[in-house]
Amino acid sequence: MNFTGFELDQLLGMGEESNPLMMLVWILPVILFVFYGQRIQLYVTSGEIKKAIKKLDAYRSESRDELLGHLRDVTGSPQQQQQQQQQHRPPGQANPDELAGKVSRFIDYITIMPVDMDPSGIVPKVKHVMRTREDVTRRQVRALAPGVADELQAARMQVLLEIASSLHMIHKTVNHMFLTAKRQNNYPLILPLQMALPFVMEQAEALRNATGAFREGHPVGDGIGPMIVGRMMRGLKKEEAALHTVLARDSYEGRSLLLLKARGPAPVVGRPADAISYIAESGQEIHAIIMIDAALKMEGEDSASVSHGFGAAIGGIGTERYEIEEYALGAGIPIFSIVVKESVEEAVTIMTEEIAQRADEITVQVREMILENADEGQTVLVIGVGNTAGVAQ
Amino acid sequence: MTSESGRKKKRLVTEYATTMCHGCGASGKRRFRHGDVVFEDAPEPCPECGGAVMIDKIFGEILE
Repeated sequence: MNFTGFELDQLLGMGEESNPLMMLVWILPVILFVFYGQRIQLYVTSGEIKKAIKKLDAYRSESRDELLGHLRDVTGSPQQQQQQQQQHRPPGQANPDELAGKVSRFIDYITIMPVDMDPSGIVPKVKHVMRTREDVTRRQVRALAPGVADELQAARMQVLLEIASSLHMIHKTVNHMFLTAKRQNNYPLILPLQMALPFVMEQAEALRNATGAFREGHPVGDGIGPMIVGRMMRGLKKEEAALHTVLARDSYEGRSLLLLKARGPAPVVGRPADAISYIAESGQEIHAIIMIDAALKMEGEDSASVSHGFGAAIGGIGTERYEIEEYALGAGIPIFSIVVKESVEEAVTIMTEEIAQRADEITVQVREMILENADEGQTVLVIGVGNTAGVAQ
Repeated sequence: MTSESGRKKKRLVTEYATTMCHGCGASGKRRFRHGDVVFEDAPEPCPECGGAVMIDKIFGEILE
């Protein structure tokens, strides 16, 4: 067969016998794609993004309704509240409409990070901003339900408020990026959003599913660290080392143990860095730190697999990690870490059986690590990092 | 309680609690009840010896 014996005119349909209509059939799309290709891609991509934004909007509303529902559950029905209002409403207690308005306002709160043009000394500033946010949110939650004296309920409401606020911010940001690209008719502007959207949706779905777990008081995947340390603390005397943070003292094979975790079963993470300052100020010497935390698994890694390593295993904005590292550096002591690999969703929803079953095995590994890295007479600080929802001590 | 996740493939999660008796060490597994907390005592007595039981673990079993 001769493949070289063709004529260009014949190939392009421009020969004398060719049909001009057939010529248009392939020339028109080429012209169309050359001049309007980006716009067509923008329309196609827009459809997918619009669907995602609709979902995000639904998640945002659900989380807000969940928070309002929980508030009504702990403060009484709307009718009861109205009766209270007509009779002798305590100062600051909101009626249902006021409550919804206040919740909407709190959800829309923003946090402006300190300027980082001169990064030196930024950590205390970030810590100050975040602490202010935490403290004010706690007070606001108290103001939303002034009759609720229960610390556990208040902490639950605060977590639900944080989730609703996060989902609100995700929706707002994605919507802003989409509308900007649409308004400018700018396809390249929508590309970063299109690429990031699957990850954003994964986070949003995890947050949406987290509301049920926190409302019911289930332990979440992130609570594996506090669960292990809580197990080691059982039966020991506990002292308050920092806000929402408990410390217990024990000994093991001639080594002194300082066990630290957030105070459960409230859904809090505690303040381990402040607790270390408390221990240091008491004059107690520490020879090694072991941190147990949940960590995001990489694609291909098994869920609930355990990794050992070095360095401070703690998430968050970074101020806690910075302070723990500063302390370790100053004292010249090592930090060892044990992390349990989980997906985003597993970290914030009810603990899976695979993760829960690892607790006994990891407790043995912690004890081995203590023996390997501390001599008799030395002190090891063991920190269970994470949200201690549904886990006491 | 049974809940559903928002994944394309719907997941049913059933919550369980495992218990351990303080006295005889007998362990058991039952459905999660509202108010259960890990390392706190369960309201029911041990079926073996009648002693107090502690909630040892709470977890969700996933049915895809």
